[in-house]
Amino acid sequence: MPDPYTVLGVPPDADDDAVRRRYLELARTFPPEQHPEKFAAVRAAYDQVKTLDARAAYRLFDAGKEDTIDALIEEAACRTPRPRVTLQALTAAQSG
Amino acid sequence: MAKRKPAAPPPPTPDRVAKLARDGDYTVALEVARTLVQLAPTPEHQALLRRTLADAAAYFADRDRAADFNRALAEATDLDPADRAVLLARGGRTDDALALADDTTRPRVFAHAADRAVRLHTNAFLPPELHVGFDAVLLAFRKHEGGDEAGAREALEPIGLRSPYLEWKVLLRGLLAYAAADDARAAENFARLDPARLPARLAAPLRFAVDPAFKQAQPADAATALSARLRKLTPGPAVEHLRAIARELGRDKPLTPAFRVAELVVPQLRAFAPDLVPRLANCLYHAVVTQGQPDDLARYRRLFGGPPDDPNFHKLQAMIGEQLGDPAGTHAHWLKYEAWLATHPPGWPVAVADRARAEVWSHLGVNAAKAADIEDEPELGFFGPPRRKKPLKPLDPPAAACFGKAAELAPDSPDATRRHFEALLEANRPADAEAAARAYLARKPDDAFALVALANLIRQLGRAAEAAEVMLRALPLNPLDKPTRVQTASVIVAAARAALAGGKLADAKAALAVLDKHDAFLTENAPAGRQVLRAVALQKLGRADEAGAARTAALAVPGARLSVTYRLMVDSQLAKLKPADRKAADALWAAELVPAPLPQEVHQLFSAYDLYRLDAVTYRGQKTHEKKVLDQAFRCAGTAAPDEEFEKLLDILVRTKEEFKAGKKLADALIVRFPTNPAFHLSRAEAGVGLGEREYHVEGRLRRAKALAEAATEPRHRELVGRIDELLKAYASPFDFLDAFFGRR
Repeated sequence: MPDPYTVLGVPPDADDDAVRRRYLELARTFPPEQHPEKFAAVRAAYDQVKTLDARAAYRLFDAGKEDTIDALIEEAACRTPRPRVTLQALTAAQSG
Repeated sequence: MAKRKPAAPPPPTPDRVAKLARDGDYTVALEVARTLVQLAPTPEHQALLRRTLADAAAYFADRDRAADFNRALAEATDLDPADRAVLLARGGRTDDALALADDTTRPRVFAHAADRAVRLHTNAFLPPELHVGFDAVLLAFRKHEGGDEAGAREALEPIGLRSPYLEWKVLLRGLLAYAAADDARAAENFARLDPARLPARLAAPLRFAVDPAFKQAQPADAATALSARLRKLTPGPAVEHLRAIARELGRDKPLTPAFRVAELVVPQLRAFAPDLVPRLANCLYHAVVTQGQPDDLARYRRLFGGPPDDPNFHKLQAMIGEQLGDPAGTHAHWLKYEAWLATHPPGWPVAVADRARAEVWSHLGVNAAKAADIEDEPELGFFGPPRRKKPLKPLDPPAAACFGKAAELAPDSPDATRRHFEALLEANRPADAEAAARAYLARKPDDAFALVALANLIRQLGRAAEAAEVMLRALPLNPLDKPTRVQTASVIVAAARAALAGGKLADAKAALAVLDKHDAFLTENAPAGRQVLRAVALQKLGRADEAGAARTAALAVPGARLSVTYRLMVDSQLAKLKPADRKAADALWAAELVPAPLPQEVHQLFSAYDLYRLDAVTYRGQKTHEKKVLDQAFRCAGTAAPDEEFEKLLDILVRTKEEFKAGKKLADALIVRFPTNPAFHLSRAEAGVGLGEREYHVEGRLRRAKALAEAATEPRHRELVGRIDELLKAYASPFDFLDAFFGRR
């Protein structure tokens, strides 16, 4: 899961008004009835950075926590150079 | 020891057959299917057996289990000739298959024969007309595996649309696209494959990787199996190393193995996905907080350098210190981290850095407050009385200063102000606390919480009239909140009492004026208090009949007879009424003390007594009254009242007022009367804790309370279980006293 600034598309020095404006824009683009998952992600991101206190607490204690090892594994698996899969490997994987 | 009987096998059911078939255990699946037919030879069971035989034959054929294949095929006597022909081809008996097949079946026979031949790399059982296609497919695979994409495509050219090798041609095109990371084209080719043919089955894990819709459509067990096959096909050392790291995290064991593997994987990631390196660093940083050792800091730094947001690991060490309960270490590291933040490091917006500093100062304040808490701990527990631990050296800066810095950096933060205010009160600096609250309210005049806190403070300093003004500012912000209304009414009455206490006629008039100004509000929210003061003020002014009516109205407030007569007595003294009037008030109070009170009456008496202390009011005889007031608690034990009223009173006595002796006495009496009420057992245990009773006594009472609470029908009694469990945590180990005796605690 990306960090809240990336989800909202605002820079880390955005103030309360800028964050709120962007949240409202995204909420209009992705209303909860039509885009429930996207809206939930936008809302969660907004809650993390909507006030100066929240932004400070996020930066202190939560920044980087969204980097889970499972997400890294998935991303590395997708980006690992693709092998040339052999016929032998295909049949071995099926019977193993 | 008696032998255990082996568990009975599960009964044969169609679902069991299906599950065994899904797991690939066709030998047992066939047994179960046969048993089903034996027990109940219904058409459905017979059809199930036929299907299972056909599926088993195909399964055995694909795995070259010739004997099993032949047996299954021999038993499947009812098979359709076309299906039998296909199975024969699948099992390598091509000649038999062709002998059985008609013109419509021959293409399928050729297709499955071709699949088997390619899989086994031999055309020995293929008819000659299939050899060319066979050679083309194998050549194409060799070219593909050698990296000659163009050669692979050229080799596939001879394979036409009617060829039994067409599926293999499509598979290879998919493999070529997959190797080129063209997922869309790979998915498109894989999706064209016939699910009944071998190429589709071989391609399934790769399709799982590149075709999201296909992945989504898989049931959980199929997805797990395809993931496992995909891992075998795309081993990727970096991915395996990351998986090894994942296994070490969250295990509450040292991170040394994880860092060892990280040393291997970081160079690999730098080669093809360098942006993943700092993300791995984040994972390990947070892991060090929860399960790390001091050596991990050096390991981390060697691998990743200092974390950009914590270059000297002060924040990390402070968080670890908080977890481990090391106040001195925590304090030192947070101070250093705050000093670093104060330099406004690059990448930190100034406003965020300063607010983060305020947060760090709050953590420092909490840490300092915790360190200043001295707890009694029974060092010998079972064998000796409780003794005080040695207090820790006070931390510098202390809590109030830390919260003050937080409030300074975050002047509009209600949280920072509240903590600063409470810390100043705790440090017995009421003037500073008042100044802090007023400074905050100058910026945020509509903060109801801050207004109420300020009003309470200045009320306790004996400035009731000012406190009343502040509460009257708080009330419109929360007009329907009952506690705010009651508190406002109470402080208005206190202000009127303060006016009355001057002792002059003018003072009495002033007091009446205050009461009359808020007449309706006080009638609703402080009826007894209002009437008592009115009675005393009117008596002072010589308006005896009106005073009498007010007294009667006060006494008519339900449950208030004791509190009203007590207040009349005290306020008569404070107002310096004539001796005869004061004597009459004293006599009224003494008369009301004669009958045993109800618990509600005692509760209201306690509140009345406490209000004088809250308003810093002292009067002659106050100390004597303290004991008399407290004694009423035990006197109510035998009266007829719902046990819920006794519970409320006992709770106030033990938990709020911490009058453990009186609480113990009342609880003992109530337990005799209501032996199955868990609340009384719980309060008795809590009183015991307060009196320093032996742990095993207290624990025994708590366990009795818990048993009663769990068996109770009243929801409010069942809800006590949580509170009891919290208290029982302190008595977790039955052998704590041994640990203490041998100095292990």
